[in-house]
Amino acid sequence: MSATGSGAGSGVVFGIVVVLLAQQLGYLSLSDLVPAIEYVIIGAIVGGVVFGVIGWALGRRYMRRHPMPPTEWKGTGGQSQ
Amino acid sequence: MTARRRRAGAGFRLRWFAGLIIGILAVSVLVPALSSAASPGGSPAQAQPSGTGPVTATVTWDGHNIGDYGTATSAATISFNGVANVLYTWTSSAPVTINDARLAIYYFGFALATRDVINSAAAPTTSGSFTMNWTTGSLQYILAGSYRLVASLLAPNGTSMWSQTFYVNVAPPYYILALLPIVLILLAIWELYNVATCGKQVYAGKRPPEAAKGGAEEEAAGGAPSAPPEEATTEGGPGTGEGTEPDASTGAPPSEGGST
Repeated sequence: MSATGSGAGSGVVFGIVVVLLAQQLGYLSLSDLVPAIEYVIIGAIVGGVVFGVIGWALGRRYMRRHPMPPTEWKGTGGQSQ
Repeated sequence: MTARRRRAGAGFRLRWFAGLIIGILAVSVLVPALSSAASPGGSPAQAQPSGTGPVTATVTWDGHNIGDYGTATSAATISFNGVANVLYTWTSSAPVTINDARLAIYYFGFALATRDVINSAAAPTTSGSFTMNWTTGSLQYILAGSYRLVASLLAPNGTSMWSQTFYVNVAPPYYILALLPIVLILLAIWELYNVATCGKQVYAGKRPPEAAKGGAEEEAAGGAPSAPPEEATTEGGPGTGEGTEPDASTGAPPSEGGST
C-alpha cells in the first residue's frame, strides 16, 4: 500500500474515533441517527483527506531522501522488455 | 512493459482523482446539514413536551425539572454507576388511564435501554404520579458521554399520552472506560478491512511472479519504496541469513549478524 493510501486509511479511522471520543467526553450528541451519521461520515472524510495529504507528502519526502537505485532488468527468455 | 506501467500509473491517478472529487462532493453536501445541526440538542422545540391528549406532566430528575436539561450542553450529569430519582407527576383535564411511565435512552437513533414503571391497577383519573429509580444498570461499562433520554407516559394500549426529551451526561471516572467502545469499534473496522481485502490478497498471491512484481513496482511508485534487493542481501541483518551461517572452511562462528 502506498504512503498516501496508508495515510488516508488511518485518517478515516482517526476521524471516526475523534467523533466518538467527542461524544464520550460530552461535547457531541450522537443520539439521533441523522446528525450522528453525518458527524461520523464527515469525520471520516476530513480525516482521510488530511491524513492522505500528509501521507502523500511524507512519501514524496521519503522518495526524495531515499532515491531508488537503478535496477538491472533480468528478463527470462521469450519476454520483451 | 513501459506502456503497461504508464497505463497503471494513469489508472492510479484517475482513481485518486475520482476519490478526491467524491470526497469534495460529499463534504459539500454534508456540511450544510452539519451547520443546521450545529446545536447538539437539536431545535429548542425538541426539548418541549409533546402529547396527543389533555395530559400535562412534570418530570423531575433528582429534584430538577428535566426541561432544564433540554440540550446536550445543559445535560444532567450523573456518575458512572449513579442512581437518579425520576418522579413523574401528571394531570389531565379529562379522566384518562395511564399505566406506564417509560424512560428510554437513545444512541444513533436506537433505544439502548428502556425502563418502565407499570401500574397494573390503573383506572381513569385526572392526576397521578410515578417514581422511578434510574440507574445505568448493565450498560454502566459501556455508557459514557452525552445521551438523549425520552420520558413518556403511556396508555394501556401503548399510546404515548405525553413525552419529553432531555439529555444526560454520564461521566465515568477519569473517562478511562470511555475508550472501551472506541477499541471495540476499531476492532470491528479492522476486521471489516481484513475481510474486504482478503480477496485482493488471495488474488495477488495467485498471480504469476511477473505480474506480482509489476504490481509491487506500481505500489512503490506511489509511496514508500521497498528495500532494494541488493541492500537486503548484503547488509547481513538478523532476518536475511547473511552472516548467520558458520564458516564451513574454518568452522568459526559468524562474524556479524549472529546472536551473542
